[in-house]
Amino acid sequence: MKVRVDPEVCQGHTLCAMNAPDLFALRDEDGHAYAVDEEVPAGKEDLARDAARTCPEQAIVLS
Amino acid sequence: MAAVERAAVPGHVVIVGAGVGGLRTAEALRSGGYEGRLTLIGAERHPPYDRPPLSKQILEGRWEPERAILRDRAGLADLDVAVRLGTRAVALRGTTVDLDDGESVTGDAVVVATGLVPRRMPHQPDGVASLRTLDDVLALREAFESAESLIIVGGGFIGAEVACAARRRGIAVTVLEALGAPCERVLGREVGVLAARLFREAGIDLRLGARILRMPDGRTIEFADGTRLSADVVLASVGGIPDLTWLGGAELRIKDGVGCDARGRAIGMDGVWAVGDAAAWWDPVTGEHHRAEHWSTVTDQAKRVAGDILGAELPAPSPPYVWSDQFDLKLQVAGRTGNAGEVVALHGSGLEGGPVKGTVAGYFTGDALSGVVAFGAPKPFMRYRSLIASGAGRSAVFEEARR
Repeated sequence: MKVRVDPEVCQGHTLCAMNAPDLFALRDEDGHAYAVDEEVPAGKEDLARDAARTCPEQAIVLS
Repeated sequence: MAAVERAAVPGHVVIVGAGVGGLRTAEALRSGGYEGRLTLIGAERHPPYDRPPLSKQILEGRWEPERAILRDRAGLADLDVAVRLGTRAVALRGTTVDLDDGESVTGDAVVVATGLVPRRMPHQPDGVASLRTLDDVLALREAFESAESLIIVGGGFIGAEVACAARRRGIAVTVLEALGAPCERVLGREVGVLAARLFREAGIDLRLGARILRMPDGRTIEFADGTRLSADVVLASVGGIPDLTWLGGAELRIKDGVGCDARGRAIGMDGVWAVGDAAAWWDPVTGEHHRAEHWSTVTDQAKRVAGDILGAELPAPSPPYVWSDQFDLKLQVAGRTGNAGEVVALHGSGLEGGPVKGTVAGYFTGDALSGVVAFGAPKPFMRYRSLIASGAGRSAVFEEARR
């Protein structure tokens, strides 16, 4: 599973980084979230799906 | 060897309440390595779902309800949790939970996560809508199909979001707010005035300082001055009260919630923790108990309670955060606002009568930045969140504002 955060859609709620700190981090300069690793580590797929689902902007893209 | 202070990890954790707090607690226990029994009890028939989209995407019809489900039955089975949905807890005896179907569940630890029930107006007649659950919002969405007019009692975040959704459908909206500004408890009067401008610019009839005498029927308001106002739908959006009657007074109530220490342990109730909207945790920063109704707070508390039950180290709490989609802009609130000492404009000119959009207000307690509110300004807003967490002083904050 691959994960990325659409920077145009992200509004910096930071809920993903709060709930899944292994998968998402925040840029110092603007607080936007980004995926730590494009490839979701094995066993973390549910966490990634959950983050995508609860993102208020639906900015997390899984493929 | 001296006695170990830490209690053994319980063999069975019973979580009462299947909202985001209950679910997150279950998830955090499993991800923390808990292998014992888990039971999740939910009064609603739906699997755990997310509430923020209810008054936003779902009410507007952009999402079907399934999209708000956080974990369906299969997902709950993966978590190896025994789920009792559509079942209400009616009593707590020690760590035994009595259910409305006559059965009981006994755990070694109980987590209270029952959240809120909508506050009712005094002598509220039948037929008044409320918005707390998925079923509530589906009923309201259906009512919007034929309604031409709507009265919303309460100008808080939910009231504002419903007002927007109704305006988009061309429904005439009147909002009745008892205080002098919408969202005043969160924003304070000075910044609440900006929210009032947004209501009025959207064509909403906002009546502040409204004094409601009674409701002769479910569609009519009678004011203290004797005048009346009717609409096709009346929504009571006057906040919620913790759903704790089932505890029967066994708990120590603080600010309407279950009084807890800084780890979420219910005061005076061995083996009982509480999370979310119904819990009033001790806040060592302010030196008082605090009951928050924020998505980010309940998520944080769930992790901390799971850690405490497992005897693990607790993650550091993050500053409270809440957002609302109103009038085509994003309202974001972080940290402590409302009754903070002083409000200072950091960006934009909304506080001096200029456009509301782009305005960022800082709330200071003494010299330290305690909170920030932003109207449609997510980028500047993000930068201040870390300054709140670090307790930055005015000079650092103003330097950031000049950047």
